[in-house]
Amino acid sequence: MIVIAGDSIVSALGFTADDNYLSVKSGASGVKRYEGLYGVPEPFMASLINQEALDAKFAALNPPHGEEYSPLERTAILSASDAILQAGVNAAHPRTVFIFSSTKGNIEYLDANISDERLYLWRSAQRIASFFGNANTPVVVSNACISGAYALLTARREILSGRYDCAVVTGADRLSKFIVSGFQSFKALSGKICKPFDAARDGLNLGEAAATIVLQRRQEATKGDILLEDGAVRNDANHISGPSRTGEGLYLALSRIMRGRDSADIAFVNAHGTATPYNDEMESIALHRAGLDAVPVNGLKACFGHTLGAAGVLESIISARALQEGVILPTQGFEQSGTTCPLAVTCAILPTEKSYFIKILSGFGGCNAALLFKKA
Amino acid sequence: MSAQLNILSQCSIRNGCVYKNGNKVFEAPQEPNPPAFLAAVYRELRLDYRKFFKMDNLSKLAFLASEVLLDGWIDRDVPHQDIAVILFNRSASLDIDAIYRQTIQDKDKFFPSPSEFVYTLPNIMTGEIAIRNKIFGETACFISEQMNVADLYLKVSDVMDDTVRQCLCGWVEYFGNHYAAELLLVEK
Repeated sequence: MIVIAGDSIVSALGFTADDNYLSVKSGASGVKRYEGLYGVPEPFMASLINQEALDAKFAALNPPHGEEYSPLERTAILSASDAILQAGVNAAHPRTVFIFSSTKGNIEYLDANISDERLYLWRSAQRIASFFGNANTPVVVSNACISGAYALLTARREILSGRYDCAVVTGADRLSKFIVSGFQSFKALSGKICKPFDAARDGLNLGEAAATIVLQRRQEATKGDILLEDGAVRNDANHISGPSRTGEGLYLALSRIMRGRDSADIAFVNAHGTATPYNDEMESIALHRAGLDAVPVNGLKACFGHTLGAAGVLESIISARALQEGVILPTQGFEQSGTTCPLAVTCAILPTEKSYFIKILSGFGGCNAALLFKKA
Repeated sequence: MSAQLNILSQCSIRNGCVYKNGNKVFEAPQEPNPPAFLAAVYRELRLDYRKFFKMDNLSKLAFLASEVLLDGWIDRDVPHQDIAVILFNRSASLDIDAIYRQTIQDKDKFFPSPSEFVYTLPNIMTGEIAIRNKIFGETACFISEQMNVADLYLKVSDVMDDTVRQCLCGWVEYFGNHYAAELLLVEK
């Protein structure tokens, strides 16, 4: 079995998974209004990491002299370091692999020089793995907004194949003029804290974060451990940026992980819930088609914003902690049902005795991911 | 875990030439620039697919290689849930990223057309192939410093569980003047 052995989140809400989980439970949001940042002509809402605090914590890791690490790499290394420490694994072991997920990496260096080596995602991944003395070639996943979930699925497969016993999975993205401009060009950004699944939802908030899960092969799980049981990715084959009207790919991914399983065993679905009109509508259709409409649904985008390549890892961590504690978290920003197919979107902390949760994500390129986690 | 994979079809596009199963099927008359070469391949294949002209160069290259690769192997009139698309490259979408970045330097164009931004992700090429061929299976993009056939084989073997019959896989790289596509259609 494949167990979450350690986890960590670096975000606007804190520098450990504990900090972040407790902040979410207390109803906090990292989303704020920024004006004039990165030279963006219009104000925008985003959840940003406190750079000074990050730099101080990074310096405390005693990084090697003469090495320059980018803000993205510092964020990723800090989260990996904390998760590895908690897991108590040997990160340098030849049977440990690093898996890195990011959509845009160090894209801000494009402003200076298009032949800058720091622009390559594989280079950032190598620097992160080398920081911990790991000599295996790291795996790099760049699959739009499902990247973090795909990195976890890839880690599961690397371990199941027998090639590795342990995988350090880090998802990270930092915001920049490039990313904010892109989402603004789609008119996808909300001017307020976003409202997943709500009738008045009008767009998403961007966020930056790094999140790490250390997955480890174990012969036996200890009671309360969270296992990554299954996962699937399917395409809509419909449109490169518009969500499918029938939720085809997400429906197929959900059907694949629910094969031979009962929806009555699922404590909750942690949705992508970006709070754009089309995404949340599509998710509601796919969940209905998959027979999961009676299962409680929650979303975390009003707490962290959409953290892009980190989202799959970050939201899995918060959800795993909730399941471990036997609770279902509320959906900040949600008040009134606003999808054609009604869902059981949570408004308050609810207790649960059930032992599974599902994490779903969808992204540009028509890709959709579903992961199934289980409490031992 | 890893089953034996059989190669059904192969396509390479490099240095102004297109190869199918090792045989050269098209050669650009002169050494054209890469975008002109891609347009020449499109004409040579006698395609009528308007979406092609909206694509960035990375997606165009992946799309053309997939057309040659799948010719005779796929029925585009029926949905395919049991085919996966797993691609690798080195530079992600840096080619179009550089163009996008240049566009937004101009204050009047800070909010360009959304169709420009969407290509600034490398996995869009897997989506274009999925749309064209009604492929509903797993689609993904990995980034690595260089093409590594052994690693590709391991990753694809992992993807090919009991729900996957065939996988379109390989390397598609496009950045500046350098481009290369090496695609395989494999079956368990």
